[in-house]
Amino acid sequence: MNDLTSRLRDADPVRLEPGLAPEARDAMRRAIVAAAAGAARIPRWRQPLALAAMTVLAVGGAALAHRFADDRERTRPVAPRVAPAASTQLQFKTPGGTRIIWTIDPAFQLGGNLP
Amino acid sequence: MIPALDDVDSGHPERLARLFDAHHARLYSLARRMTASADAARDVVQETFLRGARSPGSIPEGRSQEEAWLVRVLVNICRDEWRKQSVRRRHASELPPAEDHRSSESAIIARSTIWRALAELPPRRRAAIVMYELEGTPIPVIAELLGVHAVTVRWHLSVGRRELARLIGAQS
Repeated sequence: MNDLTSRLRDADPVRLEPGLAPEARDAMRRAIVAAAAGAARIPRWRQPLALAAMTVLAVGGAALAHRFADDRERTRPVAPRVAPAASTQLQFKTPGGTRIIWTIDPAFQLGGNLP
Repeated sequence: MIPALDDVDSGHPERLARLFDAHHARLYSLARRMTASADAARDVVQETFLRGARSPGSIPEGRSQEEAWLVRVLVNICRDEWRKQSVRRRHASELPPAEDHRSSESAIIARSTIWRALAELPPRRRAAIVMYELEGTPIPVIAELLGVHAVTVRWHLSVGRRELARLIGAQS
């Protein structure tokens, strides 16, 4: 036996300690069997089904998000045209072709128009 | 919808119980030699069996195959923990400070020195050293348990011994 082996054996916690207590062992066993019983209650056919459902949801979600992004792209505000005469226009174009045009008066004063 | 009886793996808890009864003592010994405390060893053993409980189909049939699967899972759990500790150690400088040599007995110092050195080894290397030096497991069996070639085990043993000698020399 070489020096390293003897040093390892002298310091071996398995030799120096009492080991796994019966109560700890039983508690561990119960926890493991309970976990196994929980896993066994999930039928085998449900695992691929759950995977398929998740895939469908993910693909559907991605398609919806893509469509929503397209709609937003179409209805996004057209760049405001700054009128040379100091009034500003803000235009919105909807997918149906309707245009909404807001004209912003730079001279408008909120305080001055209140009663 | 109520699942058909065949769809539910009703034998799984019994199998896990049988696995636990057959292998817990051996796994605890290995875990204790792979970790710093009895509590940590208990946690590692429990997590090993829980992984088996969560994935019933992954445990192979046959006593030696079961044991090899459990040992590999245990070493992997130790490796995850070792990596976390390595990161922590890197942030908190180098080796933990040695215990107070003046107030401790020499036997305790020697034990603490060798086990702190052992804790520095990567888990697979440590497992090879523990199984070969402490359990007296032959190299081909270690190779089978760890899922590596016998040459790799020999290499781990050789490098591990050198690293241990260096670390023990540096600490003492």
